[in-house]
Amino acid sequence: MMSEDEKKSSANTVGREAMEKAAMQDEHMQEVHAQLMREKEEPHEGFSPVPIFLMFFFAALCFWGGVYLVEHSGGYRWDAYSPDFDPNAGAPKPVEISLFDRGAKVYRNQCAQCHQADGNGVPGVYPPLAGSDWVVGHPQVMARILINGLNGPIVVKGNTYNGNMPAFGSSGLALSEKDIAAVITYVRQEWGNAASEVTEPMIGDYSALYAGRSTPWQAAELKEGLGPIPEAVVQPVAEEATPAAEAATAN
Amino acid sequence: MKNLPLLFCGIFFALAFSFTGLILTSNIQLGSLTQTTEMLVPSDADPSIMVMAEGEPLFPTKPVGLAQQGKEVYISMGCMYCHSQQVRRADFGADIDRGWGPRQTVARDYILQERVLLGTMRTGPDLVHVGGRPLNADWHHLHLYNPQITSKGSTMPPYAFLYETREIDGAPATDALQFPPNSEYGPEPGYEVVPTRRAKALVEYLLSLKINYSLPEAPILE
Amino acid sequence: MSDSPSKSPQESPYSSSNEAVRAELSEIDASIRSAALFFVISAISWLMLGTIFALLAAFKAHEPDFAGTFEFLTFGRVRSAHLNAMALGWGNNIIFAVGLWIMARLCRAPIHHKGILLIAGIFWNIGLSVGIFGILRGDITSVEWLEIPHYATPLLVISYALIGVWGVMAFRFRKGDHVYVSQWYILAALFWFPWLYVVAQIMIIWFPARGVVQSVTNWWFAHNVLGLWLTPMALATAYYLIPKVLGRPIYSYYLSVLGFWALAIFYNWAGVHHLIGGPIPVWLISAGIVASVMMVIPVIVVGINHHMSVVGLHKEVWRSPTLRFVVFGAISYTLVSLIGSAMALRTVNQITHFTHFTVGHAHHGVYAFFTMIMFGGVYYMMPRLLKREWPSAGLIKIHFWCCAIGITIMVVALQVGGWIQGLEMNNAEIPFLETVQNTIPWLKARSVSGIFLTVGHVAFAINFFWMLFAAGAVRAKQGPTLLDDSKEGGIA
Repeated sequence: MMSEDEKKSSANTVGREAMEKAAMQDEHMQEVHAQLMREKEEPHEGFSPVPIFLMFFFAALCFWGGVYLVEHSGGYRWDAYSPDFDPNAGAPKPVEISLFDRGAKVYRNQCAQCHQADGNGVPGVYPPLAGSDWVVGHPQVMARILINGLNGPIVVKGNTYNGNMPAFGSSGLALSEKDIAAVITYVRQEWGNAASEVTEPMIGDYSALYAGRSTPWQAAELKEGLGPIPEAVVQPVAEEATPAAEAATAN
Repeated sequence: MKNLPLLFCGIFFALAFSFTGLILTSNIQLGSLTQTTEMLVPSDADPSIMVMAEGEPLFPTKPVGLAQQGKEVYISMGCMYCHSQQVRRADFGADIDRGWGPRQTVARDYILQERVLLGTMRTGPDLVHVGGRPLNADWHHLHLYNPQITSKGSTMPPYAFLYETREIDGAPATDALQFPPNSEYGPEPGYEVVPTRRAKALVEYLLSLKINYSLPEAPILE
Repeated sequence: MSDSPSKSPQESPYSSSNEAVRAELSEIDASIRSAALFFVISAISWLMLGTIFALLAAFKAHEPDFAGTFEFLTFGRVRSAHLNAMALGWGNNIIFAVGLWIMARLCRAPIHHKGILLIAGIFWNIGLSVGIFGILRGDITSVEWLEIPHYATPLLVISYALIGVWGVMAFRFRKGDHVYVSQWYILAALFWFPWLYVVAQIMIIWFPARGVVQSVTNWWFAHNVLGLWLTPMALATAYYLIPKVLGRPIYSYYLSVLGFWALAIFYNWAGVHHLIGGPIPVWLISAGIVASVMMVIPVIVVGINHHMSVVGLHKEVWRSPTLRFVVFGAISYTLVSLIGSAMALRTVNQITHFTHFTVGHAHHGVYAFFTMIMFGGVYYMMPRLLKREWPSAGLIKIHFWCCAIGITIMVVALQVGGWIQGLEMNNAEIPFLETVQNTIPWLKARSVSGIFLTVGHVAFAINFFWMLFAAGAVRAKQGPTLLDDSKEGGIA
């Protein structure tokens, strides 16, 4: 190979000189301009061998590819969407989490857009939940707001808000009773709020009670006609809740 | 290389291979998917075969009317370059935890869409289930008119050109935007901002985007 | 088609050392001059327009009110106008110029009926102008890489057919037995691109396939525009220019063969990795992942082949405007492809998917690799076509440094920012708006990089048009324009 290359390059030099001379006379060659004259020859390839370790590496890669395809292709089924798809496994079981944690999730996805992650709302637009008497008071108030929505002016922590809260009950955005119970529990116990838990059966009762109502609540009627606080949840915590809530308000 | 027939065949079959494997095969597997009921039940004739439950509603459903027109607006504004429309499975990313949808979306969810807008960017949140989130038409209109009103610091462009600012003639229009009090983005006193037909269609489309049903291959786990 | 063993080196079909071959090359250059010039001028015009769209989109990404709230300049449309101006305007035009020129030269076949080529080229650019106007007007299809509205695409298809056929014709009437690696790549790409484009148009726009089959087709197409159109053309250019400028053979024919066929087999399955975690059956996704990882093979092979061909001649590479760009592009190819293979792995993709990381990666491929190599191609081709030298070495240096620094800033900013964005997005505890705001500094860095690139492009355009409309001084300039003042004779 090498010797041939060398021969070729020496031939090039001779050839070029001859050509430059020829270019002076040959009409055709005068078109061969300077840029072309200094060009090296058209490309060609050498024949160096492929390093052997590369071939082993590539073979290993192909082997990995085959194994991966077999392991993670869900049997080539149209309804397999997970790389660990197992056709013999039953339906996955949902993980059980506490009502408060479930509520945290619901709050993040459904409420934080307006009331903010820290529960302080947006001044003048969305009322705060942290330290709000409406939130930590009678659980039926929150249940009413969640199930049917709230409309019109409302005074929260001394400021008036005039907005529109959508209904999350079956007539509105249709959160499950469990989710409504969870999110009420969450806002009643987060950010220094320390009110009682609200359970799924309680929301079930309230939902049945207000199923026929199609209009959102007004602030004025929220505290009217409240039933007794369901016995199961009257807890001593509720006693201590009020000072804590007041402290939060003072801040 | 000197064997030119081999070169030609290789060039042809390399692409024919992937075309067959990816496009034709997926078309065979998915092209005949139809609507179905939320759950399958064993057939009366042969209990080992699962069939659609009789009398149950079929899913997915097709957006109709104004929502359908709203999709045209969504397409013409290029919304999909920042908003995807797909939910990944629970153990892959945080899509479900973020409330972008109650379950993973699967091929069947998209079969009635003339143009599928899965998207590959989440400069903004996923929208496949945005109609199932607690955002009503008022919120969407304010957000589209100027995202800073509802989401301070967002990088979404304002779509104010889908709204008309006009002098209040007599009583304010019923569909005029309700700005928060003292909002710096509101119109001059005596003026109101009303959505054009395109804005209403777009919001209608957004509200119609919901994954609130199960499919046999993708049940909503409760 | 057998090799004649008795051939002397002088008659070797790929040796330009004898008079006849040089005369032939001169004839070929002359035959393609007008069409190639038209394509280069169009390409540079689209590059400038695409740069303006790019700046608008980049600033709008962190200043939503930037340049006013006009409907036709809304982000979704401007970024799409940018993509199409760059891919089909700059990319395709420059491919038509450089690709066809290299093909004609290697085949020793002058372009006949160049009038048809020129007219088809004019119609390509008319079709594209209509298409991009349509995008801004709101007829955008919202299908990635296929945004051009349906009324402009038939014109693009027909004019492409009339342009691409000249590459095939050159190949049909080639002289000599040996077919060089660049010819394989160009021939294959000329054949693959129309297949991809027409299938995608039919299955997504004209007769939409059912549901997500559209999405699979979309990414099969879109990724292959890069993999089976831009990449082979850029590799063909690098394979032609590296040995041509250095006067040294490509390291290994065997590596060339392996690299070509591995690319042909694996690349076109890889596109599905854009849908990882999406609503398509998992086997399709796994196939895409395996193919993406297998791309390591052609990339390493091509990387070694190029590296071994320039090794020891770094001074020459640095002096030659052509090779400085081409080698930058070739190095980027190795880097971007290895990152791409890693991004296809499920654990990595879970983070990078849906973030700016992907945007950074796309620019890494199309700009740092493809575009840089094509700049190199223009620096080599133009002196041959115009029989003039580049007027200013300084402008070439500005061009190189602005582009090299600009694209580096862009890729680093978007990929670091995108990685952080992905980690935050996968943590549902962090409010979404906060993840958006945390990307803003990185998006601002991207805008800065855009300013660098703009300066580079302006320097390039000035140098080009200066050369084109050269005054006497430029015309009389002797000797190649090199980027280094050392006395030794050089190559350009």
